[in-house]
Amino acid sequence: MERNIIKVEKVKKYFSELLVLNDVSLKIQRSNVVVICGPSGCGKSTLLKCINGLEGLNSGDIIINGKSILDKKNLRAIRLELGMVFQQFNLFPHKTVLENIILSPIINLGVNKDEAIVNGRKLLERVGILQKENKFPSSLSGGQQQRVAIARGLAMQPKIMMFDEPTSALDPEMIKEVLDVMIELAHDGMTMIVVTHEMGFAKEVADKIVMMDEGRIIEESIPNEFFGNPKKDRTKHFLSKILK
Amino acid sequence: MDYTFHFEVLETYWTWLAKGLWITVYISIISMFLALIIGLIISICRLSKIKILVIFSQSYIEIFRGIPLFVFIIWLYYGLAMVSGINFEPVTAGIICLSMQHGGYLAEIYRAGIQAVSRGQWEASFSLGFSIINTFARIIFPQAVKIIIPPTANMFIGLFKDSALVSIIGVNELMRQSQIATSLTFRPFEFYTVTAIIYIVLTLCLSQLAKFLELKMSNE
Repeated sequence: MERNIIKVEKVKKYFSELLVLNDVSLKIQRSNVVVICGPSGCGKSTLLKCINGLEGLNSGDIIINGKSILDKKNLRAIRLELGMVFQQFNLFPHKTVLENIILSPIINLGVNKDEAIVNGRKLLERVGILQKENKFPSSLSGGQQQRVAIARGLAMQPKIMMFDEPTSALDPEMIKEVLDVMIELAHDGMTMIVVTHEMGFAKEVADKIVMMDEGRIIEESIPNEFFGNPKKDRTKHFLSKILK
Repeated sequence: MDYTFHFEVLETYWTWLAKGLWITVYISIISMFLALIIGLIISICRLSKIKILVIFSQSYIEIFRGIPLFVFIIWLYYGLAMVSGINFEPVTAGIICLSMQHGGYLAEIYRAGIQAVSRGQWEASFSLGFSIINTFARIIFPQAVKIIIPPTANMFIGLFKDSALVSIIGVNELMRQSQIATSLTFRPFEFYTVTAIIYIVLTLCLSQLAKFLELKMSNE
């Protein structure tokens, strides 16, 4: 079995004239946790959206578990293997917490409803929010909503989970409850790509930290090196700003 | 003002008005239903990424929103019949005109409602593996409906009143029935007063229904 479950190969992405991803290449191994950081506008969120096909590529290729994103026929299969958690949670506001979680397994995986409910409750319990199963998302706190969003992603039994600044929209006291769920997930061996500025999280669970700037990957290293001995001045400058 | 009302003429002619009212309601309901479908199709074309559909829907909206209903009805009923030999029944012609024009208005209402649902909802749905059709039907449209209902209800009230215009091609709806009754009795003020009141009462009913729906939606 191929070691690299994700291979990003020389990807270029433009938003009209603006080059947002400039020749980005990245390999991610199974069960690894990769943290991507960098200043806003550096292309890190766009990279995630390219990986699950929410944004198309201008050139290059992305191969997920042996399947190229360029082949439109693969798109759905790739998305079923990739869970995604967004900064703004993006729960479906017209569905209850439990419905949010079971809808996709029922429709997209053909799981029967009872089984989906049993599974959904297990996941809600795992993220510590079972008592809210019949509530609508709007009545939950940000941290609770984000945990539901993680459970919704996990309900699809993905091989990879992607997190796009999952704690950036949260009040400080809610960040921990979300990070705890993510840390547990990492320890369970999930392959994860996490765009975040939570450097404590990166230190604890990341196998690799990727620093992006102006659409390029400028540094890629293990946490000890990244924090202890960053190679690039840009990285040093960035770390000095966020680690205070 | 020394005008004496003679509402007793209604004793003889109220059935005429009742028959007219029935036709008005009939035309309005069918036109509303068709307008809903036309509006949905046009708005989906408008929001699609297929250029020809976008151009088609934009042209549709501009043309049918720009043409006065009065002109449209006469053009379709008399004009089209002269050049093409297509002869619609007056009721059919009236329904076509009302539903096509209001379908154009509705398309814009739908479009605004659909666009008001955040982009993140599409992205979340796609990333869970939903197809574009399932995303629209299960995730986006149910959210857009809440935004769409109040302006749609307003538009229905407009359509209901606009239906009086089809009297010009001889559809025996409420307005035309009162015109006929007037010409037989020379009592325009009585008949038109009653007709106006009927329109107001039914419009009130529609707006109450809209309020009820809006309230029900916001409670959910």
